[in-house]
Amino acid sequence: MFDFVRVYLNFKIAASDGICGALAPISPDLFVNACPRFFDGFFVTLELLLLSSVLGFLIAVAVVLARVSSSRFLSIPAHAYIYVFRGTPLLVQLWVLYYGLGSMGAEGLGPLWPFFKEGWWVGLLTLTLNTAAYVAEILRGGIQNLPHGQIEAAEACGMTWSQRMRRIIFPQAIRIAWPAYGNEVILLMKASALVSTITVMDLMGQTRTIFSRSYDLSIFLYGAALYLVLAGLLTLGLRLVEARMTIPSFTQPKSPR
Amino acid sequence: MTSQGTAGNDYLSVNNIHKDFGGLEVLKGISFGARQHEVVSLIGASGSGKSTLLRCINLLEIPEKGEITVDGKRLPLSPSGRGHRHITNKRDVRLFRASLAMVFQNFNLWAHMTIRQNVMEGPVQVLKVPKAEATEQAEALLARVGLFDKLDAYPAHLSGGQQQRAAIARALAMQPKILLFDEPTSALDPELVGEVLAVMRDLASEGRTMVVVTHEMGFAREVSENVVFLHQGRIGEQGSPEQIFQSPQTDACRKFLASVL
Repeated sequence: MFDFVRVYLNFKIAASDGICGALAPISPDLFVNACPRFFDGFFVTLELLLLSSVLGFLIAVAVVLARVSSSRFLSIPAHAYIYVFRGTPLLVQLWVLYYGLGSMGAEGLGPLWPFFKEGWWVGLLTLTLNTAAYVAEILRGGIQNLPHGQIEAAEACGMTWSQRMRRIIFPQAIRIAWPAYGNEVILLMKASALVSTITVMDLMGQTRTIFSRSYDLSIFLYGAALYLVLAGLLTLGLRLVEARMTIPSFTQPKSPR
Repeated sequence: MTSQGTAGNDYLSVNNIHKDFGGLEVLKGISFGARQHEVVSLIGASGSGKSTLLRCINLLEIPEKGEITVDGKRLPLSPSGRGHRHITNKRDVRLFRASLAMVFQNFNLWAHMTIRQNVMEGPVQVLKVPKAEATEQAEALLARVGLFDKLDAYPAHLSGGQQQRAAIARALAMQPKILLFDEPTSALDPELVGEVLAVMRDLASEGRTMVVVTHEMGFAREVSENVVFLHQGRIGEQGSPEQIFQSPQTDACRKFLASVL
């Protein structure tokens, strides 16, 4: 684990140095000077995004299972969670958790204070909870669009609930939901720029800092270009997963009537 | 002849089944039985309740009243508050279901699995058969229904007739005591009906106990030992195929046969 972290940290430095070095001869001075900062921000955004989408996905699975459950004790809280996180702006969620909770300070939050005083942690938490709500709904769409016969066939041969979920429902739902899920990841990437308002030095935060030193508007174009690069990488990653999951002509079984 | 039901030596006995859907009474007390190695055909107009009856037998629908016994084992339903029945023990129900294999009108093969995986899935997951053994069994069963060259095909790549034959192999893989067929040829193009009926005939001739909801009167007449005619949620008439098809006793049955033959 620590090995992995060290390798990753070295990779970040090497990537930043390498790319900035390679771009230096062909870039304006403005970019050359700002380049390492841009890459700092780029990696902060990338890390937040990867962590929150993985954690958010896991939470979403739990939430959607509760959401489609026939037990009201599970489905109502899940519904409420989704309603709150989809129904309020991400910016508000960030500010409530960071400035709102944070205002309670060390006395109010006790052992939680070290967590809530860090913009990065609050940013990760909020992005995770926010995306989990959307992904839960996306997965629900996948689950509820499954032809009922698929589930009946599993029931008829005596499968348990968890076998039906694991073996029949989820593997199909994820394939149905994948394009919509990919869309959500891209949206999350762009929404993540809002964490810069709670002191996180992500790509947007760095871009604004660099701008505030130079007042050169082209800085924002460089920032946008890096977001585009990130979007390209994400799209590529999503496509690779999709290709791995693809089943030849996986379609909804035709309904004959 | 009507609804006197269940001799003690029946392998499957269905007793006084009632089912309603939100006040609409679909089954109004149905009893019939099947001996081991016997084929029973359920016929009747659409809306007569024959598919619902079949779905009640393996609890895809939970009957409000009645009892079902397979090979001496009573279906684990128990009365709840308002005289309705509910499932007491989910595990018993699963075992019960696993002993009755269902073949659906729309095949319902799992779309994300090859047909070999479809046939292996129940044995491996439910019956805990080792994978190697399940693979061997799946290949043998698929060979039997004439699909050995399609083992790795996905359902979407198969014709309806091929899908239904694969679904029959999937049902056989569960080593069921009774095979239930819910209008197995109704969703098929006419030229594909024959290949599925051929497989079913083959199963009947090797002594499988089968309950078949069907519109194929030729099949019912030729293969079944017993024909049950359902009419408006009740048993209109039952008896041997000769009796039902050559000298139906009730008007309803005569009318129905006139409309389909």
